[in-house]
Amino acid sequence: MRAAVDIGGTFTDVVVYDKETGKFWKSKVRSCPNNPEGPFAEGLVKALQGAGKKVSDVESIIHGTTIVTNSLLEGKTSRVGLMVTKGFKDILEIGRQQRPELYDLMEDRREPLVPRSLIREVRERVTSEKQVLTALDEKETESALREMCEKDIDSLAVVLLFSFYRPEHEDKIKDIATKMLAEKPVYLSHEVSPEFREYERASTTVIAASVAPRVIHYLRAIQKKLRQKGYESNELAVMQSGGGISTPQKAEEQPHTLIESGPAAGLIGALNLSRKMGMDKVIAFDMGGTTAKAGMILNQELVFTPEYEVGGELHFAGRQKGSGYTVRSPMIDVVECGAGAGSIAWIDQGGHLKVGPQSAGAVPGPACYGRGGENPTVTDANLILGRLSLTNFLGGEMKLDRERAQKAVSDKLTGPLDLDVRESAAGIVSIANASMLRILRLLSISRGHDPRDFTLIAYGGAGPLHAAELAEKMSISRIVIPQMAGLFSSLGLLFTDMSADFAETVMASLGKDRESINKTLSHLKKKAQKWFEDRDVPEENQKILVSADMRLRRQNYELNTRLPEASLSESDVKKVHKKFHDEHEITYGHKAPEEEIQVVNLRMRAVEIRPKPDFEKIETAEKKRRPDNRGTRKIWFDDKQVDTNIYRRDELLSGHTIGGPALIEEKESTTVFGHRWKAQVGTFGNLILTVKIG
Amino acid sequence: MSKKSDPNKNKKIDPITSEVILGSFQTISEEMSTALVRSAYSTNIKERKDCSCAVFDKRGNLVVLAENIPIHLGSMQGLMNRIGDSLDDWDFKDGDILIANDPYLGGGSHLPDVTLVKPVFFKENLIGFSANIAHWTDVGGRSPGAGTAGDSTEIFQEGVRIPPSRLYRAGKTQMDMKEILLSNMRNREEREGDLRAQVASLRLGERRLKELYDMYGKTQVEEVIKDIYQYSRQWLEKSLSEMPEGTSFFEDVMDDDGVDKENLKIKVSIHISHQPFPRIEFDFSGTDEQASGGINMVWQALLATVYYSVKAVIAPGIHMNHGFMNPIQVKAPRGTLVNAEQPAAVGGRTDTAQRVADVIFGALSKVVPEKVTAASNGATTAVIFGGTKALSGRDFVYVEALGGGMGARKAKDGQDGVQVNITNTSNLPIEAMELEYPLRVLKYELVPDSGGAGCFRGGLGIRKIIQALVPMMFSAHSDRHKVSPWGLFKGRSGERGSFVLHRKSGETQTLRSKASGIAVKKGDELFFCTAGGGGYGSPYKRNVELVRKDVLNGKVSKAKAREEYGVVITESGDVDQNATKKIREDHYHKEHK
Repeated sequence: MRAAVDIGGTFTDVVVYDKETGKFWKSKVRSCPNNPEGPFAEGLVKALQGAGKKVSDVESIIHGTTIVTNSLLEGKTSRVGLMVTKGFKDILEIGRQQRPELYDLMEDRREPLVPRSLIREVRERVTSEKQVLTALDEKETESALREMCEKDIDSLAVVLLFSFYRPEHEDKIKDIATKMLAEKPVYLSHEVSPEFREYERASTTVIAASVAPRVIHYLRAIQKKLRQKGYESNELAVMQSGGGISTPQKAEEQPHTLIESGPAAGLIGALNLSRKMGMDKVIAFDMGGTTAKAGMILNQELVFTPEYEVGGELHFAGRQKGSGYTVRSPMIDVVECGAGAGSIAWIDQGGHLKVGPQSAGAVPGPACYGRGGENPTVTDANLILGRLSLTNFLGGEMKLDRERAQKAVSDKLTGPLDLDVRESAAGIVSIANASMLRILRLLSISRGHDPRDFTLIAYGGAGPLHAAELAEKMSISRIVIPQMAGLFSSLGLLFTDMSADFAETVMASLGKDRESINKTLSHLKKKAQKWFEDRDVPEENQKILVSADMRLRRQNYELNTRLPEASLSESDVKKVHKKFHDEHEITYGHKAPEEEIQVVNLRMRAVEIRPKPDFEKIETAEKKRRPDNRGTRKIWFDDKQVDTNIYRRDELLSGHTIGGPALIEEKESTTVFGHRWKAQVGTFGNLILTVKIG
Repeated sequence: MSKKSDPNKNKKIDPITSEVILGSFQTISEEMSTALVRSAYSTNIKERKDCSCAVFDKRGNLVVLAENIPIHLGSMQGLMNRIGDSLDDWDFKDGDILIANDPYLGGGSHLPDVTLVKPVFFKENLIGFSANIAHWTDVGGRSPGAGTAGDSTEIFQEGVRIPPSRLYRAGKTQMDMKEILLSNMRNREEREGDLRAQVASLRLGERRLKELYDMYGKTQVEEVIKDIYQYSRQWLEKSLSEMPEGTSFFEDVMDDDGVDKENLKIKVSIHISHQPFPRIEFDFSGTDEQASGGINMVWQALLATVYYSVKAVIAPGIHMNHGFMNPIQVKAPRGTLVNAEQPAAVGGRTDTAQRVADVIFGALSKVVPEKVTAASNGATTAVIFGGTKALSGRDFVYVEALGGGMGARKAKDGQDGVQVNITNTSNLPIEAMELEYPLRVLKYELVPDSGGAGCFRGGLGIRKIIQALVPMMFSAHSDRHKVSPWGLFKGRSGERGSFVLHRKSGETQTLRSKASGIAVKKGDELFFCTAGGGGYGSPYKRNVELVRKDVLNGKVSKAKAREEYGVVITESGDVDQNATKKIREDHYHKEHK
C-alpha cells in the first residue's frame, strides 16, 4: 500500500494505492491549521478503512504541503538573526537596488524578512581568488551571537561573501552558534544556495531560516503521529517544488524547496495525464479552498524557472524583481492567486465587491458549513446559484445550509451593493473568476501562447465547478476533468520519484580542464552512489542525470546542458561543445563556436525510480450512450435559471455522452457546464468536455 | 482596473485575438530583452541590464517597449523619427541593420547608448522595426568610459559619434563600418560580444514578428496596433480630464556643470487643459543656458523624461506607445540645459534628467499632492573605473550607477537605497564585480540619518567603499553634493552626497561630483555617498512608533529623533512619552504663535 497526503489550507486529501489489486482509496477531511498532523492521520485511517487495511499495512507515504507558502503569505515567519560579512549589513534591504514597478511611485519592495536590528556583521573576508583575506573574528562572532540570543531569535542565517568557495568561516560560525543557540536551526548560505550573487543567496538562506522552525516542528509532529498510529515502515517523503520528493531530513535542511509543494504535485499529475492522453499544449488549473494555481505543460514537459518570487500579490517568475521574496532554487513554474472556494467576499472602502485573499479556511469555513462562519464565500455563492448539492456535499458527509449562505450574503453584501442575494452571489463568482482569469492570462496570453490551442485540465475541489466558465472566457474549447479531480494533487504525489541533487561549482574550461571536470564528476558520483546505498536502491531503479551550467567565458548567465556520462572522454567533450553552441543558438539566436566554454557548476541528480500506479479502465457503456440522471435542479447560468440534469460521476461508463447544461457530482468535487458544452467519458474515466458544434 | 484594450470598439477582431496579439508584442520585446541580457559580455548589460528593447510600426511609431531604463525610449524613438522622416531615401532591404548613437544626428541621448534598428519585412513589405539600445561601457573618447564622464566640454571628447549608418546591408556585415567603430573603442573583445548579442536580439525580434504576422495576417495585426494606440491615448486623456485645469510652476538648481558654472536653474510650467481635448503642456522657458560641462540634455532625452514623469504620476498602468504621447506637448528653448545644441557635451545628462523629473513632480505636487514624491536623490551617480594594459596589466572599464534615497510620499516613507525615476539599473553583485575586476568592495550600506525628516521620511542614501587593487583611472558624474533634495509640505531636506578619495598614503581628498581621469593607485579607497530623499509633511507629526522603529533599526539616530522629530528615545529603546509630548507641544505653540 502506498499513500499520498496533500494538506491544503482547507482540506486534507488522502489517496491510497493498493498495488496488489490496482485499486485507489481516498478520503477528504478538513484541515486543522494548528494541528495539521491530526487530519493527516485521520484522513489516512479513513482512506485505509475503505480498503480494509491498517496503517501498519502502508509501505510508504508521500506528502505535499502548503505550510511554507502560507507562512510567507500570512507573515507567520520566525524571528531570524542574520550574520553577514563586515560592511554588508544591508545586503538584504538594498537587494539589487531596483524598484519593483518602473512607473508606479507608490509600489514598494517587500519589507525584508529580517529587520536591521537583528542583523550583525562579523570581521572576516574571503576573496574572489578563494583566499582568506581576513580570518574570522571568533570573539566578535560570539558577542554578536550573544546579542542575538538576548533578542530571542528563533533561527539563524549566515551569509558571508564567497562562502561557496571557502565555506570554513560559515562552518565555524555554525559550530559556535550550535553551542550558544542550543537547538535553534542554523542555515548557511553555502549549503542552501552554493552559487555566486550574494543577494539571491542571502534571500534564499533567510527564507529557509524564516520558515524552518515551523517546518521542523510540523514534519516531526507528523512523524510522531504516524508512529503512534502504528506506521512501521517509517518512510515519509516530502514533495519539493522542483518536482521530486525527498526525505523529511532533507526538507528540514532545505525548507525553501517546499514552497509550491502541493501545486507541484498537481502538475506532476497533470503531466502524467498529458502524456497518457497525448496532449502537447495543456494548462493545468487547480482551485482549492484557499488559492487557485495554474501551470503549463508544453510538449509533455513541465516548465521550470531557476528563480522565483514568493509573497508578492501574485506568485510567479516575474521579470522585475522586488515585489516578493527571491528564492533561488529550480522549481516548476506555477502562478498562484488568492481566489479559492473558501475566499471571503467583502466590500472595500470604495464600495466595490472584492473576493479574497482572506479565506474562511477550514475553521470556521464558509457560512453554509454551519460551523460559525458568518462571512460569505465563493462556496456560499455557488450554493445559492444551485451549483452545489445541499445533501450530497462530500458524499453527504457534510450538510450545507442554504439559509446561512443567504444570510451571510444579505448581511454583508446586498445592502452596500444594492443587489439581491442571487445577483450578489453571481457577482462573487464572476469576481473570483476574474482573478483566476488573470493568472490564466499571465500564463498563456502574456507569454504569447494562444489559449485556443490549449486543453485545460481542471482539478482541485472547486476547479471543475469553475472550469467551463473560465474556459469560455479564454476561448478554450477542450477541458479534461480527471478521475479523482477533487484530490488530484494527492494522486499526483503517487507519480513522483525520489531524488537528490548534488552540485559543485568548478569554474573550469570545457576544452582545457577535462581532468578537473572529471574529478569533480567522480566526486559527485560518489555522493550519488552513497545516497543510493543509504537508501538500498536496487540498481535497476537507479538513474543518474548529469548536467552542467555552462556559458561563454565572458557571459554571466549559464545554460544548463545535459552531459552524456559521468566521465567525459575527448569525444564527449566535442559533443558537449557542439550541443552547447547549438543550444546557445536556439536560446539566444546566435553562436560563437570559436569562443571558450566555461563550466560553472556541475550538477548530478540521483533518481530512485519508484513504481507508478496504473489506472483502471472503467466499464464500457454498452448500447446506451446517455447515462441516467439523478433528477434535475434549477441552476443559474448567466442571468437565467435553467433546469439542469444531475449525474453521479461514479455511475458514468466509458463512452457515455452528456449534453449541457449538466451537473456531475462526485464525492470531492462537482463539475458544472452550460448548454454550449458536452461531456464524454473516456476509457479511464476522465471527463472530456468539448464545445458543441453549431 | 482592466488593462486590456476595449474589444467592443472594433467588431472586426474578436477580443481574444486582440488580446493575444497585444500580449505577443509584449512577449516579443521581453524575449528580445532577455536574449540580450543573457548573452551579452559586459557586466553593464549582463548584470545591470542597462539596455531596452522595442518594436516600432512601419512608420516608426512605438508599438511596444520592454524598458529597464525609461530614458532609453528617447534614443530609440529619436532614431526612428530620423528614419521615419526619410524612409524612401533609406531604401531599406531585408537584412539591413542600422546603428547610431549621436545625440545631434542620430536621435541618441548620449554616446554610450548605442541603438540598433532592424527593418522587418513580411512577404517583401516593410511591416515594422525591431530595435534595441544598450549602454556600452566604452565608446572611445579621452579616458576610459569617457562617454559617461561628467566634465567634458565638447561631445568630441566623449567618444565616437555614429550618425545613423548601415552596419549590415542585406544581411552582410559592413566590415569597414564595423572596423572604424571598434578600432576607436577600448576593450574590443567585450564590444564585439555586446554587439553580437544586440544583433541576435534584433533577429529574434524579427523572427517573432514574422511569426505573429504569419499567424494572424497583416490586416488583423495592424488593426490591433491602431487599437492599442487609441486605447492608450484615451486612457491618458481620461486621466487628464479628471485633473483640475490650470498652470503650476516649479524650479530647482543643479550643483554645477563640472567646469565653470554653478547653480544651473531648471524651470518648468505645466499647463493642463480639457478643451478642445484633454492635454498637458510642459514649458521649460526660464531654464538656464546650456552648460559648459556634460550635464546637458538633448531634446530626445527631455521628451523621454517628460513621458516618464507623466506616466509615473498620472497613469502608471498605461501602455507606453505612440498613442500615449499624443496628449503631451513639450516646449523648451534651444540652447538651454534641457535642449542643448551642438557641440555641447552630454555624458552626464541623466543627472539632469533626474532633476527634471523632480521639478515636474514639484510642479504637480500643487495639483495632485497624493501622487508625487518629494525630491529624490536627484542624480544617477555613475562611477567609472578603467584600466589599460600599460596601467593595470589589462584593459577593463567598469561602470555602475548607485541608487539613493527616494523622496517621501503623502502616506509612505521614501524607499531606502533604491533606483528612482529615469533609471532602474541593478547593482552589480559584489561577488560578480570582484570576480571580474581588480576591485574590492569594503562596505555597501545605507547611510543613517540621510533621509529628510518628515511625517513620512525620505529614503536613505547608499554608502559604498571601493578599493582599487591595481592602478587605474576613475571618472564619475553625480549631483546633489551641494544643493540638498527638498522636502514637501514642511518635510525637511535629505542629506547630500559626496565622493572622497582616501589614498593608501593617508591623504584624503574630496572629489567633485563630476570628475574624470583621476589616477588611482593600488590600495586607494573611494568612498561614495549618495543623497537621501526629501521628507513629506511635518516631522513633528510623524507617528512616534515609526520614529522609534527607525531608531531601533539604526536608520535614524537618537539625536536626530530628538532634534528633528521631537521624539525622545531612552537608553533602553523606549519612547520617553512625557519628554516627547513636551517637545512636540512646545513646537506646536511656537508654530502657531
